[in-house]
Amino acid sequence: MVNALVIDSRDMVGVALADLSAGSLVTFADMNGQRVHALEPIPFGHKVALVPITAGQQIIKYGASIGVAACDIQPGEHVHVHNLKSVRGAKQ
Amino acid sequence: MSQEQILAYRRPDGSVGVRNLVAVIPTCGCALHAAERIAAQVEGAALLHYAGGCGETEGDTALATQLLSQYGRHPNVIGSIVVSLGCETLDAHDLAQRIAQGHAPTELLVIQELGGTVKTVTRGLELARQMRAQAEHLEREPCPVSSLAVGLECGGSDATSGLAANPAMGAFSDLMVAQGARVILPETSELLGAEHVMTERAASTEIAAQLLQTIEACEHFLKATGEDFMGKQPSPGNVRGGITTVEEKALGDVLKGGHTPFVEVLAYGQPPSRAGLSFMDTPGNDLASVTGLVAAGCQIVTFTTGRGNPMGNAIVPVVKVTGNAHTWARMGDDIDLDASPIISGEETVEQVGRRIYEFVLQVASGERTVAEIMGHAEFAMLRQGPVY
Repeated sequence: MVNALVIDSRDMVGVALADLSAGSLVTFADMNGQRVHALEPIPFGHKVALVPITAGQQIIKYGASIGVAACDIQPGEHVHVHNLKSVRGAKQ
Repeated sequence: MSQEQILAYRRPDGSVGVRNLVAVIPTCGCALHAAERIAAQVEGAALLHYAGGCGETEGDTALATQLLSQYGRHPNVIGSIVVSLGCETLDAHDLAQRIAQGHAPTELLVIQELGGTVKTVTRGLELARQMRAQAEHLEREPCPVSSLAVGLECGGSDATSGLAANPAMGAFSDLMVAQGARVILPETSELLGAEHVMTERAASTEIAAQLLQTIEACEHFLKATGEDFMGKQPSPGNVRGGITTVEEKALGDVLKGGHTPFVEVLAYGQPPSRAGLSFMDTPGNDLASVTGLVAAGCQIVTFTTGRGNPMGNAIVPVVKVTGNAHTWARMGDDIDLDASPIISGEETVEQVGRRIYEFVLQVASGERTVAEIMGHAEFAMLRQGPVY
């Protein structure tokens, strides 16, 4: 049962299409054998990391940068305001 | 593609209206109450809720005069009643003259000259009733879809906006452009991070440069405040809905513009000079943004929302679309169309885009939106300077 969406093949995050509980398999089209389990609850519409991301790395969604990682992020982690920072909108 | 038709009202100046409304226009906050009383008592009279007009910068007063006059000359308006106090900075006579240059009659009521609220409201009611009674004789006739200008707004976005409602609106935009209509993508501050998507589709290198300059100027203006964007772009509701950064919001937002080239970059409230997709420099604030789109001549605004937004506009129908099935189930009273079948896989983006297109043509031909049925008539003026 599909429970997430990956918009672009370059994306490093998937979007939860249901509230995902910790431990659930993140399931989306074209998984290519990739197996990512949610490490924590991911609310509907929120992002889950699909690959290891290092601090300072640009995070890709829609095939483009949506900001930089504030810390290392493991596959299955919730990606949101606590670990993803805007480049364009941050206070200078 | 064959030229499709709507049933609408042809105005003497050649423009095409989809509603017959009387605009009641206060020229300052002190005239607002009398204007409100006039609009409240006549069906089809629309209050432009303007509370500036005094003690503001010359730039803000000039912009307000321009926008209020554009509302008075709008194709959906069949007559205007300008309500002035008599001592405000905004020149009410100038405003009334500018409106009179359009297709519809205008009347100026000055509270201090008429002798107060009661006399002004009484006279205003007579005028509003007469204007509306005359409009009863107007009949809809076939007009091409190319006579429409449509704004593409979004508000209360969440993650579903970028997945369903905005791509569907993009498909709708492509259908309108194919018919030769004018389509306007607004909201500069919500496009920081999507410049590359827009410049790739610019019709010329000049337009690409204008797009970049406009977005850079907006970013500079916002950063000069010294404040963090977080809490504004994206808003707290956007963040709860899964949108983390302004870049992410922008990449979902820009999908509303579909796939056709950007043919023009417009200032706030500036009417497009040609058919096709334009970009307008407006704030992300939905009311102020929609006011700019309507001033530019849009007869209809389409509006995507993830978390749910009830708003309409004083003189144009606002068609609302959500991609969030929970919002559709919970707040469907305020929303016209459900785009969530895209997420569940029951409909394609193109199918929902076609549904939006067909509904917009029905609305242009007289069908009312839920915002109109609920009496929503929002209006807010962009103000950038201090108030003295």
